[in-house]
Amino acid sequence: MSVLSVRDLGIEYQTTGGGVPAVRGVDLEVDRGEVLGLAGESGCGKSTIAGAILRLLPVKTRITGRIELDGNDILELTPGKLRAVRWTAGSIVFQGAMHAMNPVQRIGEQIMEPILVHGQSGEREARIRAGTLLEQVGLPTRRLDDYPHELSGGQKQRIMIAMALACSPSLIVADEPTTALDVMVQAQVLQLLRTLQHDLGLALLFITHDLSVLVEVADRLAIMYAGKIVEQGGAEAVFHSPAHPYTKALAAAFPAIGDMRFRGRPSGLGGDPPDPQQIPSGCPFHPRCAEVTPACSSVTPELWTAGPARLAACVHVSGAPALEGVSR
Amino acid sequence: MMRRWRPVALAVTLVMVGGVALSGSALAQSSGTSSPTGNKIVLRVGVPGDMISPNPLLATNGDDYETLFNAYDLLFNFNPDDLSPSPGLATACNPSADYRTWTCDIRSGVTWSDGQPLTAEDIAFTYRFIETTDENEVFTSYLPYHPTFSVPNATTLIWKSPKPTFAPTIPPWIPILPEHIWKQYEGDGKAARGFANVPAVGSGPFVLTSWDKGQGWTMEANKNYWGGAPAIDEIQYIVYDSQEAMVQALKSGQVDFTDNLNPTLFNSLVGQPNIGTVKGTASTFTNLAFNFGGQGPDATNNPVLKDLNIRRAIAMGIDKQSIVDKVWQGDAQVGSVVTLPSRPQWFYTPTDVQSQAYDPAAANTLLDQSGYASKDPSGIRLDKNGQPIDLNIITLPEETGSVDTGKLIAAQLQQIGIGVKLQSMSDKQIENNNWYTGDFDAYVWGWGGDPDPNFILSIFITSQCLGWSDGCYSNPTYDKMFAHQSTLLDHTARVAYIQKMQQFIYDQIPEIVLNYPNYLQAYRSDRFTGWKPEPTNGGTYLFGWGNQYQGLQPLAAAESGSSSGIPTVLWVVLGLVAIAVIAFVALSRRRRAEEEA
Amino acid sequence: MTPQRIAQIEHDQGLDRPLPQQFVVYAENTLTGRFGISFVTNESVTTVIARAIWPTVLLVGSATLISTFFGLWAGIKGAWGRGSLFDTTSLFGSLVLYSAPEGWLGMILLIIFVGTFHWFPAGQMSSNTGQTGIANVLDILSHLFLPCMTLVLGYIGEYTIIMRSSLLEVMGEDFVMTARAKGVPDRLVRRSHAVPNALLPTLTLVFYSFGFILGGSVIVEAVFSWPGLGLLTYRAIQDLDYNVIQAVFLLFSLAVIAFNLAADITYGYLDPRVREA
Ligand SMILES: Nc1ncnc2c1ncn2[C@@H]1O[C@H](COP(=O)(O)OP(=O)(O)O)[C@@H](O)[C@H]1O
Ligand code: SF4
Ligand SMILES: [Mg+2]
Repeated sequence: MSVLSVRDLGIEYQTTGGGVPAVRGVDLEVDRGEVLGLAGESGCGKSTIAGAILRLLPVKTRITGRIELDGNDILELTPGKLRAVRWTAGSIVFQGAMHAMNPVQRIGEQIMEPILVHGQSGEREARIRAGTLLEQVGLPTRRLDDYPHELSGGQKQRIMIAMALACSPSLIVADEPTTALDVMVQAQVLQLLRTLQHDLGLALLFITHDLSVLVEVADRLAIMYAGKIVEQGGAEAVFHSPAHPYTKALAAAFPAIGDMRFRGRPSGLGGDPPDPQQIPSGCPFHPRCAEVTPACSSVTPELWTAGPARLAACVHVSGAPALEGVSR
Repeated sequence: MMRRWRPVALAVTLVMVGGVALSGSALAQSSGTSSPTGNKIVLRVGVPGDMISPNPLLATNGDDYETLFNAYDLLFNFNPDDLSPSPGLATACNPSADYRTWTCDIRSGVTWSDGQPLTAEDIAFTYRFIETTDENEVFTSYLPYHPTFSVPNATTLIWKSPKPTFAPTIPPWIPILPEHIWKQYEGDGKAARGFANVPAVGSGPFVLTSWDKGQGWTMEANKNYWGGAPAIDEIQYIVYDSQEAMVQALKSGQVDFTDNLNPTLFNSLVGQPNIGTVKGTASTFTNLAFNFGGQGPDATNNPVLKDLNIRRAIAMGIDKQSIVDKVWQGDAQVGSVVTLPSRPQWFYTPTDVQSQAYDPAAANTLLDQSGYASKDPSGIRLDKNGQPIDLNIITLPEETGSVDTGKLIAAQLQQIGIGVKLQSMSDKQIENNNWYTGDFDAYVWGWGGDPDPNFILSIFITSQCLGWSDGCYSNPTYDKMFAHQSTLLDHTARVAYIQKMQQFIYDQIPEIVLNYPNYLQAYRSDRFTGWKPEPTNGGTYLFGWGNQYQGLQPLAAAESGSSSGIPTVLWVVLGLVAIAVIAFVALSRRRRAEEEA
Repeated sequence: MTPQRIAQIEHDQGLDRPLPQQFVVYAENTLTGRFGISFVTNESVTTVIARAIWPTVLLVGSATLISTFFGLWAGIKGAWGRGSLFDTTSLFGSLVLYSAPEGWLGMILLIIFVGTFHWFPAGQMSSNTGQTGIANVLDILSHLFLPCMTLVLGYIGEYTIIMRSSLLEVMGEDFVMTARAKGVPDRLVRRSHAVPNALLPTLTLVFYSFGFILGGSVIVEAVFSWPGLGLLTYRAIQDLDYNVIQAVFLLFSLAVIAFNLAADITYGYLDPRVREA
């Protein structure tokens, strides 16, 4: 049974410069104990999806589709119910732990806050739980009395993880949890997440722009481009034999740590991702695609079958309808 | 949450609230010491400035003089009709045939406010005290030729003058002081000026009981006053630094009288319910006084002003009527001589008013013909050394109308090629600096002065330089004239001679008398009756020539006690605040409950 | 006044000595707390100032408390409900009040509350009717009302605007999002996360603006004849009472320095990041 089920999610930010369609028809599924990796360049809409899961987007934002989290129809909840679901059904490890903590509040209080707010226990037990959580993420209990500025970047990220665990949620969304950290620390935090996930049987939606990180953590991968999922499948398969030209470029851009094959081949991706307000016609990737065909600017690819348990939105995949001038 | 900052914020707030509360209670204690009001009949007088001092040796402004008038007696009072001398402490003073010895009959049975008897000895003491101790020369000019005084008995004062004099009938404006209080300071000017004199022992109709510096002062009725007990029990003088506030206080009944209003505010009060207005005509004059130099090495007077033709041209270049219209909004008369229209027995109309009438063309011609024809590129005339004629004229913001008058004069003199630089400063600043160093060319100020013209005529004599003289004017002919008038014991002869002197001053123009402004006051017509203008024709209701308060009778509103308790609205406001706080708390409780549901 | 008398005054005041010597004397007197005599009232400057200090503490203190309290409250409410009717009206009002000179505000209040409604005294600090105890406290309060309101109106706008923009800035911070994600109710998000962080810069500015309030009190005290340091300054400047002016300005400067220091200390106490540095 899935902990998170996202159906045909569409999200349009409302700005003075008009609507910004950041997410355009996304389906996602995360099962119990499963790690789904969501990858894509910066600006493709990953954090927007994370925010939508707990309905944290600006009030004016137009959201369509359906989000079901732990049996709750998130988009239909009353404000009171919504608050009750937040952090208990799903919690988020935010991007940039640096700023995600209140600088003038002690760490202990910040970890205890959701426990107390949701009435899961009294002050004393909450503090004990906060201490346990700290130990779980590898920090001494006495750190409870520290302020955020007294911690290193890696320690902060550990605290954020401890905080996310506070109410034992069914799903944890980790939005770029390691991005700002240096390589060694990145590896440690990753290791921690993996261990916790395994030990606690967590359902995890792991978001990053670094594909090589995902392959070590995720069971399945979803690759996102310009507000849409463009490829989906088992983590190993997607990473090692990408079907979508965009996935190929991503995989090439981030060599797996210690993988000798990628040495000296940092073939990146030319150009910038499209502005959500000016998405190219046809396949949104076509202005940057290495395998572009004449049909790509007029045909809008859908998630077609690209092998066993594989989907990809590209005219080149096997499940795509036959098109003139397109080779498989 | 946030366990930390709340105690701090709380502490900061507590400290501030504590400070405020402390200061409040400190003030409450300090100002809550006198006895309760009961049903006292209190007259509250709004004044635009504080007393400078109730010590006669420091008397300077109108408030000081009003207080001294109430607290002390003079040798003679002033007849309200024409301000001629009328019985005061002295019932009469008679001269010997040679006018060197005056014998004055002093009232008997008069007591000081502390119960001690007041005798002729006190008067003799006071005059001697002025001779020895009045170093600032506030009063010395009333005692010419260094007279001596003797007291053959308690009701007789003998005034002996080395030269013939009519000084006792001027009469001397010297408050009679109790010897038993002031004796200790005799001859020690510094100590005498240092004496606070609050509360003051006096013999006048009211006793100065307290002075809350900067806020006002209180005088209580002297029920034993020899002229009869006043009907009111107390006078409170209340200082308003802003005239606007003073006028609003009158409208709301917080004061019963307001002194010395500017025309704009005065006119806003005319016709208001329960408010009466008084226009004292011509009790002062405003002038443009020239500086002739001689104060000392730092004097910066422009020598061109010593040329009578320049002064005449300036006089012709100033449109006095425009000042009446624009600055005084009609509440003034065009000026000419240094006596006042309100003193008809002395006031004089010059024979040749036309010669100084406003006529810029004639002024320009006069200047062209007097050797000031050439001008600099900006149109300012050059003096005989080729320097542009630029006058540094001082104006006084505290003196009603002075600054605006200065601006008009500057614009008008520009038309006849005379440049003006205006400089504003307070009267104390002038006295402390520019006036005694002579650092100015002219100023726009004014004079009040005694009913008798002796004083105002004296300010033009050479020896008054750094005394009362405006700009050290000096003219031997005039000095002789002034000395001569002091010897004229026959009233008619003196009047005629003084007219001659006024004509002389008018022609010589040591200063230009610009206007005789009206003295504007307003009062609550629903609280007191019996106002007595002094002089009777065109005088003011208070701040006149003494004895104006005794005739005041309370009307019903004043009888019922003063309305200055806590305004009910304060209770209302406090109540509303309380309700708002309760509502706020209740609402946020409910909202919280809703949110948590 | 005779030249001798003038010379004597100059001598008494030490004005006949060479300038450098006068300066040394001045510095010495200032450091030892001797400020000389007021030229106008002939009292010692210390006495004159001591008399004026409490009225100003009462006026400026109560005005600061009230304007800070309501200014911060309106700023918080406005920012939290950004764009609401409350926000737009309070922002507009704040801008108007912010730009209105205190003297003018005082006049308006005078005309409304004294001239028209006869509700409050037009000036002074007490009615001088000899009342004691609670009646006297209330009497002083009723005199305090208008000058205090004038200062409050003069500064509340500034505080509202500062608090509003500071809170708006904080509301966009990540940790506010974190708190909301945790399911913390709005009221608590505001109270335990947004406001404490937004208060830091605001309170500092309130402390720093103390100097301006002192400046404003000069005008307000003059309008309402409130017998504090402001009125003393106003009159001393008019009368060129140098000794008083010097002492008052020294006192004002010290007060401003003290408040800036207090701001730094408070900031350090409120913000753990600064506390440790
Ligand atoms: N509050 C917002 N208002 C308008 N546009 C937004 C807002 N937040 C994000 N966006 C836009 O939506 C797109 C997706 O952003 P985001 O979800 O943060 O991307 P990612 O997390 O994948 O880097 C970007 O183009 C971004 O500029
Ligand atoms: S559809 Fe065309 S443009 Fe898009 S990814 Fe496939 S080949 Fe490239
Ligand atoms: Mg992101």
